[in-house]
Amino acid sequence: MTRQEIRSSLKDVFREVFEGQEIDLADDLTAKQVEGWNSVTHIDLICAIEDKFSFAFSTSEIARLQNVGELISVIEKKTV
Amino acid sequence: MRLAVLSDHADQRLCSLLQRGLDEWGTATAVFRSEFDDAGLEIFDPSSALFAFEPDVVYLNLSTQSVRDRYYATDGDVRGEVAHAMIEDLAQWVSLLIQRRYQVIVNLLPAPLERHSGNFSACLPDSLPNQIRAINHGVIHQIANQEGVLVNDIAYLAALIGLKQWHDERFWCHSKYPCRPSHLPRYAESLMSVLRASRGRGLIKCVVTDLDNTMWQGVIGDDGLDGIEVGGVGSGEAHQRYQQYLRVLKDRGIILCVCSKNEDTAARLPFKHHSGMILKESDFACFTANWSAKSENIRDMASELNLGLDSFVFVDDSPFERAEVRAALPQVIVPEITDDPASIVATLEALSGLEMAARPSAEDARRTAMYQIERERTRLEKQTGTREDFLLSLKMIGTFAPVGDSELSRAAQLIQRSNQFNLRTQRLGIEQIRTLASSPTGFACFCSLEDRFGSHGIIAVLCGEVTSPETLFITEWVMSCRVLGRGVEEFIRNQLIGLAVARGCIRLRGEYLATEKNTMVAGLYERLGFVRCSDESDHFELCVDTGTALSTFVKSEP
Repeated sequence: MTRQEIRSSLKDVFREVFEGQEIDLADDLTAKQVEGWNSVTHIDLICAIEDKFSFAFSTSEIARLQNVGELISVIEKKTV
Repeated sequence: MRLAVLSDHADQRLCSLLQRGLDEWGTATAVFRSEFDDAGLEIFDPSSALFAFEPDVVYLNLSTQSVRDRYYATDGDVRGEVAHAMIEDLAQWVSLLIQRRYQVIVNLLPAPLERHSGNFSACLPDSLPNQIRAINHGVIHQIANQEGVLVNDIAYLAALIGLKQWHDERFWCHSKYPCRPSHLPRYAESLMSVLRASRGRGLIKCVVTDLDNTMWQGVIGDDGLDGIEVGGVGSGEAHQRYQQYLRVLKDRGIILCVCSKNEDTAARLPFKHHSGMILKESDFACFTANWSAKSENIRDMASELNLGLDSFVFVDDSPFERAEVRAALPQVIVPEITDDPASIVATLEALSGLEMAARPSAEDARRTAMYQIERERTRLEKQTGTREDFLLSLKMIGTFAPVGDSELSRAAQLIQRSNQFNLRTQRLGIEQIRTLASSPTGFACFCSLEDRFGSHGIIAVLCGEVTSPETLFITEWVMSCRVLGRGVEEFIRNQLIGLAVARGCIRLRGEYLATEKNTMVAGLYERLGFVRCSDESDHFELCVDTGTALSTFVKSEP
């Protein structure tokens, strides 16, 4: 999958987790900039992404992901 | 319902799921989430946020992982004492909580993934799996055997899902989730089932079963006694297992009914003559074999048994019959049964309405027999001339007395099960009933009824308190619908007057709180001579000196 395809699928996941919000998933977007993206919904997001893309994050990835760009890079690496 | 959750792990998501579940109840509900991950901090502090919240139910939400933490923090030679220490803590917490008359719910813990010594871990009392087992054993035998304590069997849920799917160490490490987060909805639902049952919501009271290809393999009318299969091996075995399952349900108080499209004699043949049959005709409260629409038969059963249709489950292998009943009676629970009889039991087992919240009483085991006696009465009624002649011929004897220890569990159960004849739907628990029964300013009485056909057992429970001076307020009045229209209400009303006088009261006061299901008693107090109060619209009063005894065919015990 290309980064663009991943980004587009991710948008669906974000919309589901953040209850209908349309979020522009720029690479430098961080949790702080999204309403409702807290420690609880972060876990929801992680699980929803795992289900959508059929792979598993490592524990350190769950903790360390800084922004959407990094998230897409992990998905890109793990879904080849 | 005010639910307090005390967890030893992250529970924000669980609590929001529980709040959402309770929202569907439509009544005032609230969920309290403790800021601490140590329940003791809340429970030992009388000024804690927990007590300020004034919960109805306290959920002690412990996890296998926290026990594991404790286990790893303990030196090798004393690891075997972890379970014992946990149970001591728990027992102390629970006793403080039930003293305050809260309902308490405790988890049973899933097995850990780590065994350290393989299969042999089961032979080592100190092993982690055995410490978890010991905690569960302690919860079952020392804690949940008390009135007011229920369990949320997370151990079963985790086993059902599979331990490897259940545990996800990443989410424990990252944020102290006790399982893979995607299982939390089922975790919450498991607790919701317990909560619903404890409030008498959504209980299944009757299973209506088809016969051909459900109770046995084959069609009795076509295949005959030798052609049907029940027992033996293969699908016959599966049908027999279904019957065994139903028999256990019956023993714990669920009513069984047959609803079959058949000639009556043919339908009864296997029950009389097939050696593989587990259930007998006498195990059923209704036995209906005819060619009418099944929905019509089920509607008749509900009115004959005086049970709400929403407490019915209909089991039938035919998609046509299921669709017919679903369309005509949407309240009835109609699980999707595959055409493999081996899957019926698992399908029924998934119905949360089978949840129970009180130990079975003697009444439960006798319930079917009581409905059968009831049918005899109805037959007699049809034969006897006037209704008065019939009621007189029943020779009814009523007993109205304070609830003692031996009546407590049945009284609580009746309060929990009654939805229709229930004036205020307060759902008092055992402890509250016990307190009222021994209080000089309150009362908790039961009414039992006998007639020439036998005993109905305890059929009504009344609780109340002396409120404003000289007024006896009826806080709870529930009655089994089985005995409607026999003059029991009048009998109870006459007894209440005596009770009010004995408490030095000059008037009785009652209230009708409407629910979706109790319209049948909306006019009860006025029918019994009470007068609607001007100060509060659904309050009714009766002065004891003007309230002369109403005539009734129910006589006091001699």
